[in-house]
Amino acid sequence: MRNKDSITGIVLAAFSVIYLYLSQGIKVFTGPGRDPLSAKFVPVLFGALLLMCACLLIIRGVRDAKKQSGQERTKGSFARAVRDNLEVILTFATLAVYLMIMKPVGFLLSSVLFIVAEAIILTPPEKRKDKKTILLALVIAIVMSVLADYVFADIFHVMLPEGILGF
Amino acid sequence: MITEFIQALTSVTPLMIVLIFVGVAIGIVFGSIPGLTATMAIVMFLPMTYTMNPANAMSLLMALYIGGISGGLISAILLNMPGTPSSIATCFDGHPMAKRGEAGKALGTGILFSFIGTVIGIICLVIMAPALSRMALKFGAYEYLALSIFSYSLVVVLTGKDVLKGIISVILGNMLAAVGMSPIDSVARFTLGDYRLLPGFTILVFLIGLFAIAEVIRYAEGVRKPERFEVLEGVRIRGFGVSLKEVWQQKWNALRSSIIGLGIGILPGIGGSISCMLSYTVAKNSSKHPEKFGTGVIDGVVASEAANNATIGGAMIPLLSLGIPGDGATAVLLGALMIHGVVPGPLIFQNNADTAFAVFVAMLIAAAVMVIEELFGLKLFVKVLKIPKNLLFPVIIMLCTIGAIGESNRLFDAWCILIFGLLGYGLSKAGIPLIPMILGFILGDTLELNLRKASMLVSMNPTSIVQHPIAIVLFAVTLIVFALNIRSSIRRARAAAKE
Repeated sequence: MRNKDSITGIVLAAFSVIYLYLSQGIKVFTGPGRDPLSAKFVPVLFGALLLMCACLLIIRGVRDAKKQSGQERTKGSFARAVRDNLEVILTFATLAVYLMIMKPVGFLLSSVLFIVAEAIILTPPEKRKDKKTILLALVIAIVMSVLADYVFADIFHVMLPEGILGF
Repeated sequence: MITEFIQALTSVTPLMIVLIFVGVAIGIVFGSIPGLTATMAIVMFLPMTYTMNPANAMSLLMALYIGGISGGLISAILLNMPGTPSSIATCFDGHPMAKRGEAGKALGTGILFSFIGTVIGIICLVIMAPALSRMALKFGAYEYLALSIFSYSLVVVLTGKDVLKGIISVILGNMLAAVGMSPIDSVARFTLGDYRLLPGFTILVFLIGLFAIAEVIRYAEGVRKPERFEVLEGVRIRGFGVSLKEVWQQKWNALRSSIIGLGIGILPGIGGSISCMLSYTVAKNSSKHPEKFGTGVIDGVVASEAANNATIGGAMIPLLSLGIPGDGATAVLLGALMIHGVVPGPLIFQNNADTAFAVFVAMLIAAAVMVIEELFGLKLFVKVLKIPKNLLFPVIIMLCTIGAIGESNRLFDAWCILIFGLLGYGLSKAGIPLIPMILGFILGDTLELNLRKASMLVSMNPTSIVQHPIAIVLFAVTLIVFALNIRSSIRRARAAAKE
């Protein structure tokens, strides 16, 4: 009986509950000169509003799912879902790894690795083993990373991590 | 006003001209490549401007903005894919013209009327912004509160068919804006004990994640199903490709479209995508031959391009005179101005008039440069469209990461763009629009600050709101807008239930 809207609604409702729970910890200023609405008011207001809207969304999702129950629902397995969205998951993972190794390894090296990895991920599967593709990605990665490192770290003084290469 | 304008004109330096040339070129590239937007260009180059003086910085950013909005027409006409959302309506007539072999005419028309729309927008900006500032000096808590709520209602109603999801989007934006220190009493909120969250999220990091990262993720989704598009070759423009007579025939269309674009730009939260569609629809409905729209008439291209470029000038009006950005790009410009010590708002024409007028002059120069570059450099830009995305996007992510780190020189912000990228991707899968959330995020602090100030005013003097007619009018209009929308939703639901 579930459809996209009701799942979204459930996620949003969970988020708003967490948000409201965290709002309880906000310190309220109780001295003289305080305004009638405290620092808690707006977060609680919006948290409650979101919860309400999320419930409406769940109701709407369930209602729409009932209407559609005549149509077939493709039962997808978890494995299939992962396989279909492999590039998306890999992109996030690669980006996370990139950020994790940036401080120890340094901006330049981690950027080269990231660009090569991500370029391969974003290439259509049939072209991935192609030597030319990988070589081109490597060249672009090195050129652009060196350029960016020089322009931003040395010229614009953005503090990019130095890491093991020392520059 | 004239004296300040002339003063700004005479203080134009060669460096500024170079920056504008470079900015417009890069902007056009970003604007023409589907998946990259003008906002992304501004967001990525903002860190580069930290060490420049305000006038130079704003020249570069305005050049990126103007080039970016205009560049969308190239891919709209040649690829039937809008380079930026602002050029959606240009596809409708631009691409049919290209298929018929009239690509040069379509491009030339688009470029010319982009220019006209930009200039009309700038002229109105120069006239209206100072005047609005003077009026806004009298704005207090009630007025800003009413304005914020009014903007929310507009953007929810105008950007989507699904009002509930629009409302959810706005609320999410506000909830994210509440992270950090609260306005007025600076209480730590939602920081989970982590000092790095104390200042809250910056708009730059928010937008980079939502737009840039999410866009790359969307591309990653479709890697297995590549879209095959051929870039139409052999495109040449001789002059503007359109006769003087045809240009003159379009004068009312251009003027009307520019005014629509200007009006949409002024309204906070809505931008080029709405103005081009609205202007196209109006042009079609008021034309003597509406059936020709969509088959390839220049009226369609004119309506779309004049409007989306006039929106630039329009969006700058509330930014400069009220400190309220008109769209995502102007939100980043707001951040840019503040980084350089210029506070947009009613006092900008008293305290930083030279910067404000430098912005006006830069916009005019950028508009002219845009025409020059697009006319003469078209072949180059067409080549750029062919850069393989699997190489382009990783480099873009790297540049965005630099941008995020450079914002406050900490790696934490780079993690934030990853999180916001996830958020943006998740929301787009759920069908929740992003624009209301961006507006909610931008206005979140303003709304809360003025809500609490207004509550203080009310507690001191319950009837004080009667002395603020502007606020009352805005509240009333908001209620009317909501009532009308609820009524039409109910009607639509009843009609759907009957089927």
